[in-house]
Amino acid sequence: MSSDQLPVNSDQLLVTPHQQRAGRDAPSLQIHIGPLCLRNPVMTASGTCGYGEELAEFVPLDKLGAIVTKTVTRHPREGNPPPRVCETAAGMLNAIGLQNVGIERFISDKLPFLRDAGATVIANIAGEDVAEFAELARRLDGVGGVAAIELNLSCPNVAGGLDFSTDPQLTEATCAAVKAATRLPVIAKLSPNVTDIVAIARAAVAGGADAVSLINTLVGMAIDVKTRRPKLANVTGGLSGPAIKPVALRMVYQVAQAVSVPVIGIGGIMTAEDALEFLLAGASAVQVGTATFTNPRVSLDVLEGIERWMQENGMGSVQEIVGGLRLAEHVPTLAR
Amino acid sequence: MPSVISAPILAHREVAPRHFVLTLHAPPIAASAQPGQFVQVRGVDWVDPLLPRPFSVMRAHRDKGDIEILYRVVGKGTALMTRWQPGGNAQVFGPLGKPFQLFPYGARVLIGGGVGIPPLLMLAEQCGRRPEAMRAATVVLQGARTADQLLCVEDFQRTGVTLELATDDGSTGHHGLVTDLLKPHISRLQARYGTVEVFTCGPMAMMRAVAETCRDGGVGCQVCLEAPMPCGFGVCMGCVVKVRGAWEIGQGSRRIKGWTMERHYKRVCHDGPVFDANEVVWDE
Repeated sequence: MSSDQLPVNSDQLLVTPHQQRAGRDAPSLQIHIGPLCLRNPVMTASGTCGYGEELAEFVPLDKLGAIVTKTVTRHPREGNPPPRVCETAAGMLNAIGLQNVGIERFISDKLPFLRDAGATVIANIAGEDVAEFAELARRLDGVGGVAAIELNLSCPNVAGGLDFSTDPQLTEATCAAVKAATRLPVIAKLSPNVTDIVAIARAAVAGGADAVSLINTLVGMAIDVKTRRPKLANVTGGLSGPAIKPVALRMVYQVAQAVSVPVIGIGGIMTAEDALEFLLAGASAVQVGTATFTNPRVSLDVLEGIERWMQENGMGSVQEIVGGLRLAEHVPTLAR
Repeated sequence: MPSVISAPILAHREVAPRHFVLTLHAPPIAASAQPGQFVQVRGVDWVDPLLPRPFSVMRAHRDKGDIEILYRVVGKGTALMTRWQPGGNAQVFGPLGKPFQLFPYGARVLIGGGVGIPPLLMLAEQCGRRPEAMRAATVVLQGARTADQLLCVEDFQRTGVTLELATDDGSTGHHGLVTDLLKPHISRLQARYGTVEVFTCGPMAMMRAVAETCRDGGVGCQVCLEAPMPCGFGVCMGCVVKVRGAWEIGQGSRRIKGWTMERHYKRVCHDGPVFDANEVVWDE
């Protein structure tokens, strides 16, 4: 039985431990991402929390909306040679190259820990072609402990990685193939490195995606003037951190108005205020990424800040915030 | 277990040109920090620069709950740090990483230079507090370009362990590289104490030379590596180093280790920063 089939006034059934502690007046943080029900709208972004083991020392994983695990591929990947990261103005570039343990070890070695920790797991996957995406999704379908699948259609640091999310047809075909291969909710993670992200988002929805998450990193580069060498061995890398937040926010705003499925906002979120901006722009939930590197507990701080803000502003549920941006009559809308 | 705290700044002083020692009140970190471990430090409100900077713990005063770190001004973050004043706060996260492994038998040589010195000072002070036999069987070798760039010389002298210095320009101690001093000491200590373990931290070229000398001399060597580390706790995979596959049989002191042809990346922050020198693939 899904929660929306529950009778009205079934408070006692739906009260989360979090709410029990805070008392009856605590706002409801629960949100729905398509068929997926999360205890709150704050997740950790893929690639910034590994498979949860290290983060669990600082954040009770069952407190977060979800943990989006590091991208897994069909076979283990060694990743790119170092230097893989460099700091830039209010952000950083990375070119990790999808170093990961591969799907089988993810299932056998990593998932049990997350399951025991009570984490809601969104497994991020990347395939080399449509069939491989479907194969990975099928493999995760019967495995306990995975709540949803996020498709990394947009890794900028591997050959062919960006192909999926820069091509609407490929995006649609991938989403459709994955949907046919699994009963799990499917989230398409979109790249900002496109001319028109709305067209890609629409294609993902046409393919059956239950939600879209955006944005992945922006492709960038940095040069060491002294040595005249690129600061990353991969030459280019993905830009993340507060530097990209305005771009991410604009894209979330555009996509949220154009598609019918929930949008998950990602990009430079450091504080509860940042997260609230994304919710107001139309995101139903957010992912905290690079900020975790500045403080491993930051996702929890963001969550607590949202809850405090809701209490201060008399908000009963997160849904009341989503898309609550106020526009004056004369302001032209960016939506198309 | 590491903690994240907003630590009061207690003292901040320049100890050599462009080198500063920062004292922070961080009781949970002071209580458990070991030589070779590090902390991630950043301004409490930093957005640009964004990321914390990793620094080896140089001292942990368990009684007072204070830690000391030593840093050199190399970029935007450390330049901002020089303005920090006692009375303010810094965000500090640690202790992180795997520490040096100190054996209660045999002799040891601590060899380093530059900002590789702080973890070696913490190790030397630990050896200095041990029984006389351990103090006598510990040698510290420090190198620098010039005499004024040598760090913590008096602190090392106070530990009671043997200290030898080397400078590129000959302004103090041996005229030449600090690695020139290593081989004679290894031979002498081997003859006297049987086993010798070498601990090194400093520039990559120096550590590589130390690793080669140790390999050729058949003595154990632990290297403390440095790398840019966005997260410092093993999640971002940014600070990797190429290592050899390992095999191991037996347990404790009867353990035998070896290496395979396989190569893969390990995280400096979480799997290190201290590695067996033979594990590291130096030519990458």
